[in-house]
Amino acid sequence: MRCGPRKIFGIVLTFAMSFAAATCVLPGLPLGPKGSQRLQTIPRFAMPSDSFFVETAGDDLSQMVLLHALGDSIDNARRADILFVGDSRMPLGLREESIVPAARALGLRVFSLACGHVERVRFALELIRKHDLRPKIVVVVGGPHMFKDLLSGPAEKARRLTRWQAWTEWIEAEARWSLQTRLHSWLPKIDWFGHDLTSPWILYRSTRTGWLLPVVEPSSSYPIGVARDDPSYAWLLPVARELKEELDRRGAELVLSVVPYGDTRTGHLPFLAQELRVATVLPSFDGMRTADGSHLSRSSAATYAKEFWSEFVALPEVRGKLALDGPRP
Amino acid sequence: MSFVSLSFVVVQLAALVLRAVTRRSRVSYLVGLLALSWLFYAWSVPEYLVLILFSTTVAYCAGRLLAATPPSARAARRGLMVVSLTLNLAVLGYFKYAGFLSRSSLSLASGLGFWTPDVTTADVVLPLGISFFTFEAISYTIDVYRGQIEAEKSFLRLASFIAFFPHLVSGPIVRAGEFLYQLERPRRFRTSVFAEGTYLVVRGLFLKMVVADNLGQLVDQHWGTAGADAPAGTLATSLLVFFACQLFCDFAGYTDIARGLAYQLGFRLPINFNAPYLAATFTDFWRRWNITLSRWMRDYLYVPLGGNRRGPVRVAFNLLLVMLVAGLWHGANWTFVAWGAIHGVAMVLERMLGLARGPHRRLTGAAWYVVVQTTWIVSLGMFRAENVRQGYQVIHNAIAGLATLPSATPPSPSAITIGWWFVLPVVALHARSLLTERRWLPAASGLERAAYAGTMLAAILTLYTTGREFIYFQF
Repeated sequence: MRCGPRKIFGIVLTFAMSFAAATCVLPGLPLGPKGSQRLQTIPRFAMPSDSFFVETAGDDLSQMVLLHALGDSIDNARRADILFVGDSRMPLGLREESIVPAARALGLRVFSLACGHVERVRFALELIRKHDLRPKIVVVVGGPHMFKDLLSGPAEKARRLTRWQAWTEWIEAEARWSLQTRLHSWLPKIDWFGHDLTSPWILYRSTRTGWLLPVVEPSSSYPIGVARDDPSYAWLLPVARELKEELDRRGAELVLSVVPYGDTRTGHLPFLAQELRVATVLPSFDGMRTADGSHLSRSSAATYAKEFWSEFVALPEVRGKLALDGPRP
Repeated sequence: MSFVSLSFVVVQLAALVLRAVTRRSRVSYLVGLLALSWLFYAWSVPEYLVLILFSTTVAYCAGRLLAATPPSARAARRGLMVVSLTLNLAVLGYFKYAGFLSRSSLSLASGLGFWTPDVTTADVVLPLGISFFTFEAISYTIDVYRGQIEAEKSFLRLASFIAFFPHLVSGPIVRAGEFLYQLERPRRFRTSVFAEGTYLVVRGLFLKMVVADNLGQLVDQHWGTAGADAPAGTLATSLLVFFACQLFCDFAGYTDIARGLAYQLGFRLPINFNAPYLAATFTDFWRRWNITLSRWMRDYLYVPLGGNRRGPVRVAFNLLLVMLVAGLWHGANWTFVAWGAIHGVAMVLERMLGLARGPHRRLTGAAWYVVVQTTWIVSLGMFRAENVRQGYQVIHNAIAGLATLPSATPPSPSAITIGWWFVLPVVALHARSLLTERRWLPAASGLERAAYAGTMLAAILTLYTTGREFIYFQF
């Protein structure tokens, strides 16, 4: 069968018209019961430089990238004087725009190993050992749950993959997200099953500093809360001691802190400070608000990070280890 | 690598560029295609490339040795074929059935009260597409042995046939005789063929990403409830219908994509699905569902066993055996054995009742159609289940749900209601096929296909779900 130019034109025109008609009609079709159908779009945002897409609505790539040293992240972590460890509350509470310039002003390099999905100290310990990271100070920021001897789901998955598999999955996820952001900025995705295309957060991760960079974040405001502490925190000791011993071997100091959220516990700080003989930083929670019940809002984060940093650099252990009082190059 | 991935888009684009730049050199085209096919296969686990190389080498050597052995040396020829089959089946057997056999043996020994060592059973990861390319290598060797095709002299050409990426991991199971000659054909670019290929790709993506994956979400979410001890209204019935549509769209979608990609590259792959839910008999069903596997089973197992030639008892035995093997081919689990047994028994019954060639009366025909399709849908309870007990429970609940219709309601009416919308494309596809088969309408014209393609593309971009592998990847 021959295809002449007129026939080809007719086919292309029919295709284009049916495509245009369907894109207009499909989002308007009330296929499910009232209220079950959602049209999801991705808001336009400026992508931060030197960063990669980390997560929205479920997929978390940080653990894979860090564990398998994909891209430049781990090279930058190796050069850091201070490593921050925590879950997603850490980088969204002590934000990059507050901590990194403050550290840079003192000639210090900082890097965040914090990962979402309630990642814990166990994963950071694995990263430190696997990539032979030798910081001067490690700051663990988080509640007692940080010292549970568990890995998050994304960390478990990252462990199962080979480096090649992790790399291909990472590249695929980045390309897919890039395509989705372009497509769904003008064409909505229809969903009935509660699968969010974007959570309230759209997060990137800096390869230079390791910090999570929210490009879209919720604008709600919730008060922070303080929960009752456990009667005993002895269960934290095995992992906490293992971390301390590993850091001692590497000549690094351990500092503990928390970022407040809806259900904050702080009792583990004095307990671990006494058991491990480490310093803690606990700025005031007064006036702090969260954006989603779990992560500090941008304005609260700015205040909290400022207070954190001033308390942190005032610690004698920190000043001594970083030689902040002596002559500096 | 999956067809539904951006990495694959790069591979297909590279293959199209290759086709454009190697118009005058068939060898360069084949070398490039083979390299891309191996890249496609090795993408997730590069080590498994060894398997496909092994299978190809065995088939190639067997073919060359068979060609060098005169037909009069029948014992030697048979020996060569047996060695080749044993080697290929050994690889397939180890990767696919070692874990199953060791688990089953231990559980049998334990059930019989024998002492069983406290060991973990072999847990071998199944390499992608091993069931498909092994069957292709086997069919090549048998066809050479039977003298139906000549042994391939060029390793490159044989490797290109076995590893050709559109059919590599989930079929269709291509026979050497219908593919190798295409490697020699002059390959001019024809717009109509390219457009046909593109249409098939869009249709395949629609069936997979929109219909199969959305239904798959529902099935996965509610399967546990459907298999619970207490029947949940018509939930199990709805889920079995959804799964029947999911499985069809998943596999037929894959085949459409595979055939479309092959068209774009200048090759033709056999059709693998022909509106199976129109089948009025079990025999007809297997002529419409996974056609290339049914054909393989017929030519390389059923006919050598004696086929229809050795009396009714032997025919019944052959049918049962073939369906059990077909079940086991799908996966190393007793659920697949049970699924195969259900269809084996059904086919035997159909023959005994004299319905295999289609009932003579309309009413009987309609009734038998309902029996055939209901049996298929119900048997999928076993196909989808994690174990025989769960499969039995889902089937039991589905039948109980039908009995209580219409008073019973599923627990999540909104999700189930939405699910039925995704069944509609399957109904529409079969209705269009019925109209064409009965010659009430001509085959879809270019303009009609363009309209379908535009609509399906819009649906793909708005209704897709991601992150779900093709079901047949696990086979």
